[in-house]
Amino acid sequence: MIAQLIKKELLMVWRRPRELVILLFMPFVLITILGAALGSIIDGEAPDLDIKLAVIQKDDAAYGEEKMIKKMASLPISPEEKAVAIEGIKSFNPIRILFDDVFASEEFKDSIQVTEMETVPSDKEALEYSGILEIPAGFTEQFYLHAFFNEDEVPKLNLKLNESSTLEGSVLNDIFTSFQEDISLWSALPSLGIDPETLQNSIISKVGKTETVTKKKPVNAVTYYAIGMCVMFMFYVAGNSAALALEEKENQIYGRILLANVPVPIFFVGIFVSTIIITFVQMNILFGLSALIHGVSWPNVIDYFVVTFTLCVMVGGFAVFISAINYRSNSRSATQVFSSFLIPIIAFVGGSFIPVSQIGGFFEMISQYSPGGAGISAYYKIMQGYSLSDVSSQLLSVSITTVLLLLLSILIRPRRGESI
Amino acid sequence: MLEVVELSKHFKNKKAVKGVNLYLEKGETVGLLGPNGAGKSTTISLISSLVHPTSGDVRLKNESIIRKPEKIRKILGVVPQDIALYMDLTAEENLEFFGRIHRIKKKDLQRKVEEVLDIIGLTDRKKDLVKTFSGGMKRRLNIGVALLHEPELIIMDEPTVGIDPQSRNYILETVKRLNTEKNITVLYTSHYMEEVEYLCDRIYIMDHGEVIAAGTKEEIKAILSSEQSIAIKVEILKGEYLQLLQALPNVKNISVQDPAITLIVPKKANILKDLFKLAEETKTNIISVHIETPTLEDVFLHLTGRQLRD
Ligand SMILES: Nc1ncnc2c1ncn2[C@@H]1O[C@H](COP(=O)(O)OP(=O)(O)OP(=O)(O)O)[C@@H](O)[C@H]1O
Ligand SMILES: [Mg+2]
Repeated sequence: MIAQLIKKELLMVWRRPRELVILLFMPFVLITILGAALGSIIDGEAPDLDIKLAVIQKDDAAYGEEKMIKKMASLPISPEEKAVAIEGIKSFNPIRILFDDVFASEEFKDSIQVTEMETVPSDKEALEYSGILEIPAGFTEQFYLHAFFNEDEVPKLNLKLNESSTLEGSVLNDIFTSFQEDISLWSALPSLGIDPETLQNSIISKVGKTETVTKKKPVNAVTYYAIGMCVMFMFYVAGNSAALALEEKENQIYGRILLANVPVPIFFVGIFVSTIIITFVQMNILFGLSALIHGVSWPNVIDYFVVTFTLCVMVGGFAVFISAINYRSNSRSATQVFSSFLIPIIAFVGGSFIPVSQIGGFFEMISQYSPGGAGISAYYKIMQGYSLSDVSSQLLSVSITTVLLLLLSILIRPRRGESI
Repeated sequence: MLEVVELSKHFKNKKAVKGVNLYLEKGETVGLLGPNGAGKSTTISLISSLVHPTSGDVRLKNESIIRKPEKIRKILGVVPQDIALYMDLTAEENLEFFGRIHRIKKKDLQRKVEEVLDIIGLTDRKKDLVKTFSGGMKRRLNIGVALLHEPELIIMDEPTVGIDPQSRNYILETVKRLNTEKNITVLYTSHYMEEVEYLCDRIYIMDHGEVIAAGTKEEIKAILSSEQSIAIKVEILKGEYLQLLQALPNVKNISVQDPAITLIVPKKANILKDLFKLAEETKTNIISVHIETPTLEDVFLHLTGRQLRD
């Protein structure tokens, strides 16, 4: 029975060219136009990173190094071995590598501005920085102890990111994740007896890798608008389904369906599921076309499908919710308000037109968890190469929205015996 | 088989149905007649369990359907007043859809669909989208959908509204055949007196939410048995003549279908002399005068003071 209800919905959409134009043609044209017109603005901006990093130095790297050399010198080993070890210590000072080979590298020297400070800045001051790095006291010494004597743990750097600078934050995060991995690796190597030269090369290749990871970050304009428009136009499917459902009520088809002893909830499940399917197909066509024509490709297709499906279910929730209001009030007004006011607002707040995440602050917070914004930001992060766990908060907020919509629909559902 | 007891439905600011009583016996064709807004459609929604009554009861084989609507829904076919079809699906797809949601088994469905297409005479148009159909064809399919699950009782809400005479005859014949060949009970709503007169054994006349007359055709006509209707055709209808006729003491009702005038008068009253005298006075040329026993149309006029159709 549900299968019939769904099949009928799909046929209806398929046979209505006007609706197909709104659902498929318009967004695709907009992706192309916006991507081309605003491309230079966004593309020019993205690689121009302006990372302000505050470094709280609690460690004295030179002192740590000196102390370790003394310790090495006092060991009862041959002078040759001592020389190699001391050379190793000198060339592996992790903090110096961080400052000289990473911050001062060609890749980052223009985009990362390091401010060293003694104490933790106040919350207000902290907002000026993209991130705050704390190097704990005894970091250098602990590193050597672990590396040469296998004592103690690999020391850890503390990085706090400013939530409102997403792009900068993500670059910093990458640098330090990668750096932390590197020092764990280096600290393991000397004890395995690998000579320092090999190690040095390894460092360089490691830092090199950091660069390639960060280069992947900027998302170009067409891609941005592909995401923005898809997330906007998916909501029109909900408006559409609800309008169709109201037509069914107005011309007494709904009464006919009830007279066939179809329970009311089943009828609404039909709306829910068919909306999910239509939206899912719509998204895949739009992103498929964007991939073919504009080269918008996803680093991880499975993650893309998971995000897409979660969003489609939410659109299904909207369809049921609006239909329930229409049925209860016996009027088209809910659909009209949704399609002409709510969707543009959802789209704007979510960042379909301009990347609101660059505005920052409170507005960005709202944007990130609004139905559209959560979708855009989930897609955006997946596009940047983040994993699903990195977008779990967005997916959660989308799912909560879905559940709320469905619960509200149950509350306002049409009552028995009121079905004309 | 079906009994409606003191049925009422009050909307927020409108009493649409007020204490209606009616019954249907198995195999009967019953007419429900009334002008616009009489409450016919509302009564049908109440009987078919789609709307809960404000008070009163609908009983199917002595069981109330209000709490348990499933039983009546199973044996009932409703032809709504609107064309309740998917315009963007073909005739066949519409029938298949409604057949499937009526839980008709897949293996029987094709046969049933063909059968219905044959009854409503749309076999050769089954692959066409409904939106390409004429009004009459849509009306026929609208009826067809209600026949799929072989109901015992069919309720039709003005199934011939706004279509050409040919389609209308086809539909009337179809209804008659369903009733005589398949012994389906029919409740037929209309504001065309002649349809009801042709099809129905018994008639209910509704106005302002109430049944104002009920019975067989003969019984209802008997309401006017002591009266007759006089149809006068004139060359040019003058307001003056009309006014004078209206003022005659025995004229109970007068209606104008330019250039004809219909009067309802008691049989005993000898009014013809006055007619001609007044015509002469107002220089009106009378072309013909017919004296008839009253039709149902006249009964309706008599009961409500209004024509059936505005
Ligand atoms: N859902 C509703 N809410 C409020 N009033 C209603 C509703 N449905 C019907 N009515 C009113 O009840 C009265 C009876 O309507 P109904 O549709 O039953 O008349 P009808 O006899 O079928 O008329 P028609 O011949 O025009 O179809 C009308 O005055 C109508 O305006
Ligand atoms: Mg009606």
